[in-house]
Amino acid sequence: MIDVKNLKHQFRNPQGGYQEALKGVDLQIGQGEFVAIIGHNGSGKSTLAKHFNALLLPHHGSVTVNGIDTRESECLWQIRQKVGMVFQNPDNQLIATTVEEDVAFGPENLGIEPVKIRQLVDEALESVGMSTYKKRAPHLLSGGQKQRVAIAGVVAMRPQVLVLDEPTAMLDPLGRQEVMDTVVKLNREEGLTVVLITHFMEEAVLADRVVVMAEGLKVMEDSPRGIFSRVQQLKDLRLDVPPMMELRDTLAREGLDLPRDILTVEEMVVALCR
Amino acid sequence: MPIILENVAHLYQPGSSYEVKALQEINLVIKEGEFVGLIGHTGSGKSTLVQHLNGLLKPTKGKVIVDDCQISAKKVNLKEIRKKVGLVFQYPEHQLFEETVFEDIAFGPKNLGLPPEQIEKRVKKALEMVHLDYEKYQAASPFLLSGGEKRRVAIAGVLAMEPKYLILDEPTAGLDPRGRDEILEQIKELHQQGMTVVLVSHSMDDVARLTQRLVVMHRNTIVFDEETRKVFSHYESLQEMGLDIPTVTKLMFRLKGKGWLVRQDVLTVEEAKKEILQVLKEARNHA
Repeated sequence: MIDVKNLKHQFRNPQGGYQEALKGVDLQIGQGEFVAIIGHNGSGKSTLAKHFNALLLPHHGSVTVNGIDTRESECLWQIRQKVGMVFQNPDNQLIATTVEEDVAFGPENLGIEPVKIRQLVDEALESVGMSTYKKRAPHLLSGGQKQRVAIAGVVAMRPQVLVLDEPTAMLDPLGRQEVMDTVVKLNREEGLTVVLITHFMEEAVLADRVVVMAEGLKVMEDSPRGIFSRVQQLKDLRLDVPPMMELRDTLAREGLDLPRDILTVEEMVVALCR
Repeated sequence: MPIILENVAHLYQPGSSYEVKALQEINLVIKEGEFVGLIGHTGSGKSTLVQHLNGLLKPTKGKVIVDDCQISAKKVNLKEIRKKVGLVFQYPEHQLFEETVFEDIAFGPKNLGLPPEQIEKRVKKALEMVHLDYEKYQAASPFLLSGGEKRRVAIAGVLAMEPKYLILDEPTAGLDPRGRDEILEQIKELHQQGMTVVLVSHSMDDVARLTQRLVVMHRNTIVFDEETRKVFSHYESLQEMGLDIPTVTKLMFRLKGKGWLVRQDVLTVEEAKKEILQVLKEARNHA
């Protein structure tokens, strides 16, 4: 679906020099997968994500989407239609005066006929659970609802891949839950390929695969259990370790025999009560 | 001297058909030197409450008293109160506006009419408190800094007013784990140096780790105001309010449910480890 080969990208920094944001990254994302990308600010994760739909173009190496090189400028709109992006701040992404007009903005720009647009908008709002709000003004919605409308705006374009760049960073716990439920549903039930960039480890745990970025390089790539059981390596990177993994680690050091991949409270209870 | 809220209520647009009860029957005392956490859902009234602490909002009913000075009294000097009570809003970096870090932090002290050498001293001290090197940062544009640095500059702007009470409304929202840990570590240090701190947060793990006392708001009033440890023992009521408890505390509740004789007021991984090892050891001794 998305194939990244030896990708490098550099930015001009304020001092006039260059800074390498990506230093040679290889990554494959398959159809229907849910991949989480974690890492600190400045680790290159957003720069990487912006290459998936040609918002940024490689300075070295290549990115292909369904076999199309993102540098082929005549295919730009085809790529952007296939790979949709949702960003951190919902207030910067909503533009229309009602929810349904906002969601219709993308399909309208694709030149789709009105009857079909109606159908796309309704289905998209249904898929994020916002149908009852379609006549509302976006600015009156909660943060989580706004973000779901932003996702619907992308879904209405019928993309194959949904890329979300810290979609829950500005939301409260309830809003985060709403957005994550929506993302998981779109992946599991509608088969949408999802790439989620996040700082929250409890969100990364929901993915099929986790990629850890540090200083422009991919430093770890594994299942969530595989990643989070490497407690010391995560701590060295100063990333959060899920509390149950950390507890397992300290108990193991005291000589307790526990499975290596305990992630949840339930699993810890089962392991301790054996 | 403390900050005292006595039977405070706040109505938005009182008397109109849009009247909203944002706060009701708030009784709260924040003593000098305390580190108090404030949690509750979006819309529970947390932000409205903290805006009462420095007189940005005045109560519709009841009294707010800061160090013996009643905020809603006729001749009250609000400037004096705002000097004492520093309020750091959500996303405070949105309020950065000057061309250099120095000028931005100096804005408050300048408005106090302090002489230049005093202002410089305060800016230096404030930057030191948030662990940013004066020489490196003072001439930099605040807009070219990273998210975490910007936020620290914004907090330094409040610290330069040398407040006695520091109120922070979700100071770590949107930061990465490293940025979050740095800010929380600095807040902890400020408290250790004697500052009174009120921390509004959505993160139960953060308040569990840092605060001694926890105030829980629900539907515009205070429902719990106790030692942090004790608050999390009201697991079921908190869940009904849609609030969570720290993950290790949850584990202790589950283990207790399975018949383990563990304490349920455990807040950290380290404490949980001790409890579990203790129970296992006793079980082995019995066997």
